[in-house]
Amino acid sequence: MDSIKTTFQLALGGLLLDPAAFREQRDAPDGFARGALLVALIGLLVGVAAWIGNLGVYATQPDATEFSATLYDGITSLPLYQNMVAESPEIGIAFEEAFSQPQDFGVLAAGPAQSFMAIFFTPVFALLGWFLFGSVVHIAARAFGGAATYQQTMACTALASGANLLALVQIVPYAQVAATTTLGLIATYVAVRESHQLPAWPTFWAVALGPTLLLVLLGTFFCCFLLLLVSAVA
Amino acid sequence: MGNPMIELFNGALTLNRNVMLGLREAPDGVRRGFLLILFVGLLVGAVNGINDLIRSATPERTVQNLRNQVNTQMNQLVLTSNSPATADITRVVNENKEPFFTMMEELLALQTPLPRPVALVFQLLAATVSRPLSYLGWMLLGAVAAHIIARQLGGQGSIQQMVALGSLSVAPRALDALAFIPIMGGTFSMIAWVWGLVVMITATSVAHRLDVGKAAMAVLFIPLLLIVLGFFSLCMLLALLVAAVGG
Repeated sequence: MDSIKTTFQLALGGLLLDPAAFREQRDAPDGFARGALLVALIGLLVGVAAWIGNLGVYATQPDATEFSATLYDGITSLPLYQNMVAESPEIGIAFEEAFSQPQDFGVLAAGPAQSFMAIFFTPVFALLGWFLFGSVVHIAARAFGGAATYQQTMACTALASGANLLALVQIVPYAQVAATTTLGLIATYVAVRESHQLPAWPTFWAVALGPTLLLVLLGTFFCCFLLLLVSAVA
Repeated sequence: MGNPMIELFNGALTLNRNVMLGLREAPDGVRRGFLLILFVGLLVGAVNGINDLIRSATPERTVQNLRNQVNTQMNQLVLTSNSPATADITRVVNENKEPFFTMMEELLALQTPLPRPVALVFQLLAATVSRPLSYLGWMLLGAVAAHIIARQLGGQGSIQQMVALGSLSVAPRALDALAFIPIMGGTFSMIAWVWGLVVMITATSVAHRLDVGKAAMAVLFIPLLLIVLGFFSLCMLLALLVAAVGG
């Protein structure tokens, strides 16, 4: 029980960017294990909160079949649709095919059984993300002259998941989460600063390297896709 | 001795440097800054949520609001252009809007497991609790951008000090609570935005011990750079598409 309380105090310290919490985590002999517990626990809580919120949304939305039927009747009664089908009958065929299966076109929330799996996936993905991002940050920080061990880096970067406490707001149906990624990155910056004792700029690049590479990769894919699209249009 | 939160709020609005200096040196500055955002965000979220609740109390009222918006935009379109394309758009919208609104009303009136008032209460709560996070997200982006440039300009503040003081820039957003007032609502939001920008510049100046000119450069440099880059990217994309289609 005491361990859980300490873990949540650390999570709050991570959320509020408290350097003392990061230093305590860096110097703790069981920092890595405590960090893993923290990441998993916050992931689990966020998963449960999101499931409860989704349940509320699901209970205040209509049945998918009724929704689909009403949408079908409404669209087919639009003069615009009738004119388009009269000009190009293939549009009508594609439309009928799309509505032949009962579906909500992504507008309605998933059912409680479908969304229940998120309770298990959220902590698993949180642990995986922590492990991958923490490892990249550690390699970069060491390359820039950092002095912390792998365990210390991971212990400190785990506190950055304290930012995910903001995602607990999802327990309220229809609520929108924001700020977790930016705050998580800032907390990771503080984690690297405190664990590796690096100056500001090397710390910044150690944290920014992973996301920057990811953005460059995504940008390259986007440009390739755009070029393909343009050549197809031409 | 008043409420510390109200003092912080008033200090932010009046650009009180003593309040900012106190927050810079406080070990719990980030917590106090985040509490201010929570305070302002909940206030604005609740007021706007209640306004939305009133406007969407029944399916008919929701659709009537939508109808008014569409009519306003169509009137503006007709006033600003009299080209044949505008006439075509107006004709298509006028032909289809009433059947479309009927469909919307039918969709909103469909039976749900819990009654409609429960959904409205959920939406009110969601609007209330989501607003502080939205303010926090934008403030953090602004604070990080300003911090990066401020350090380049010789700033001495830490990221914690920048985030704590940057939180004060959310205080003027309390004016967003008046956004529901017809005609004047947009003006209040604009004033809140500009006032928030001034608070952010002052906060950067205090956090990094920079003069106001350098602080203004720190706050504005990255947003302006992104706007210019975005504009050029858009122009290049359009030129590429025109060349591809034309060639």
